[in-house]
Amino acid sequence: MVSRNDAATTLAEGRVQTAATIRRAARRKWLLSLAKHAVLIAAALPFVIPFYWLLISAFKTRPDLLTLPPTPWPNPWTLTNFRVAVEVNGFGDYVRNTAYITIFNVLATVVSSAIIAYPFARIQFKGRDALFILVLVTLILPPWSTLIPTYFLYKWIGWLGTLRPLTWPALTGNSFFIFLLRQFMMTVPFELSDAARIDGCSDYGIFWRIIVPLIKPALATTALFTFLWTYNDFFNPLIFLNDPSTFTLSLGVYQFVLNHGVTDTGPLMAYSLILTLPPVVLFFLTQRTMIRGVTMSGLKF
Amino acid sequence: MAVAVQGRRSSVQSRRNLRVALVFLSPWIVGMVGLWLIPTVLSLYFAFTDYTGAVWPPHWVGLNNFVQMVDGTDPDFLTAVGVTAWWMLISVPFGLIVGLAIALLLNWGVRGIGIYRTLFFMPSLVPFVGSTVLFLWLFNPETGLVNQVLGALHLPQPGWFTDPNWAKPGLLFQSLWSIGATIIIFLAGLQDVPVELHEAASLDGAGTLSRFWHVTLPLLTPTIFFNLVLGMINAVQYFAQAFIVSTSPNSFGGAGEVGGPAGSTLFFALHIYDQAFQQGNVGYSSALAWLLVVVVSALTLVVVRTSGRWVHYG
Repeated sequence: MVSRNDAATTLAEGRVQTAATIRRAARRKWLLSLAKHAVLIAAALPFVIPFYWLLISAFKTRPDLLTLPPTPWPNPWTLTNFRVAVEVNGFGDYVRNTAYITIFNVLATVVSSAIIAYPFARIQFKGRDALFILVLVTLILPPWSTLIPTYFLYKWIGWLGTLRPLTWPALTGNSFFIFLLRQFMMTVPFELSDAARIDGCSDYGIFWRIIVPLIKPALATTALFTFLWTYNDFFNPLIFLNDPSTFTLSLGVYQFVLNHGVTDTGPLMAYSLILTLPPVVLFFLTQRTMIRGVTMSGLKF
Repeated sequence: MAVAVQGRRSSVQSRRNLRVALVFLSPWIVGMVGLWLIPTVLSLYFAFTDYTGAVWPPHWVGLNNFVQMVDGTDPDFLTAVGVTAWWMLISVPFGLIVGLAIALLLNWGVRGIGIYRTLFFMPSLVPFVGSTVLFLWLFNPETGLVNQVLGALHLPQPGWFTDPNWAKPGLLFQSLWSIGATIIIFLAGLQDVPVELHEAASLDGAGTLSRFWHVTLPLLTPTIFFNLVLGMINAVQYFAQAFIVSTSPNSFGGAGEVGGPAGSTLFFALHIYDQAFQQGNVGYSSALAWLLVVVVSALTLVVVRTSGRWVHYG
């Protein structure tokens, strides 16, 4: 930046650049960029080192892990930790439950939120604005306003001990994505739906054949972030799942901490690494959608 | 005549629209009633009873639950408020400053910026149970990497999650580690600052610092504001990480009790959880939950209301 501005100043003053000044400028630019890389690397270290430590701790043997001072490299490498982690009681159940809950939530949230957003964006009906304010209210109010009675409601209808508290609610849509999808649906030109209506297309047809194909990127964002939120969720499983056979992977890692000590750090790190793998793989597959989702709407996970 | 027909037709049309809309909205209506309206009413009702989760109907106690917060019946209430206030006042500004600083570095436009961006972003992909457990291990007082490095440098080695004075700072490091999304939001904001403004400012003789202060920062206020609101709302409800480190056994570098050690991580949400699901004080915890709801809503409103004074919307 500085060197470019300096160059601009030089030109503005109308001086003739000699080969020597050009060479000097290039050298300075190179040094500056070297300094910038050094600063960036220094800033990145605190972010990289814990990640690196997770990675190598998962491959260290038990004595190697407890060696002081710690060694920066596994010696020898071992896969035992992963074997121990997957052989822990319930691991298979946790994987199955997590897969079921996550897939259910992604499909149900995308479909229901899109269906619910449609009338808010595209149909003129009495009371629309008032109902939409309700959507915003449920979006702003923290989950604590309903959490405790919801627990008892699930208890009374016999849902505790099943996976239903973590799946069925997704069928009723997610306020945030209803809001997001509505914004996208409003940008679809009304000429398109009017033309379809004149050709005899109903609202159901317009929704399915015109709106849905045109808001696919927003639907992809919805699916991606629902996946991450559901997969990462610790709070809802902690409260609503009380039968170990219904636990998710996140709860499984926590259970492992409760039942083991520091001598089992290796398997615990292997377990955490397994837990981390799906979101990381997903990031590399969908980098653009994910970054756009974060910047566009401030989605966090 | 024509007008009447028109009127009837449009009312037929609007009734048809309402019918179609209700079909689309039917799953939402079920959720609104079953998962929002009924629980909200029940939750308000519980807040004025001494419900324990066992005997129905609950016994009405009026404002007693709210009185108990402040009359010393629940000594943990003030602890929880203090811990949460500390977290809001420390973690939110730290998050904004670190997030913005890293975004500024990433905005330098050096080659390979995609790689750096990925390095900063990666930690936020680690599910927070995983990252919390990792930080328990890194901050283990005896065998953890952090204290080993501190020891090698002849610096004091705190007990981190086992020491009331160091548990919150430990959590702060964990939360700063997964700050990737904030960085990305700031970076997008920085990239929206027009280059011409910077060029004009430097032609007028403004240095790097003065350009940051007078050009970048004012244009970035909407982004800062957005992150501030989000950060405060999340800080007040902070739960999972504190729950995990405080309930983890001592042998793993945790405190072994909800909100421990010595109540130093008894965040407000942990206190509600403990009262509702472990102590069986459902009525009292509902009152606490409503206090939280009011605070979160008020914060959101205050920040939104006052934003006009210091936010520059392009």
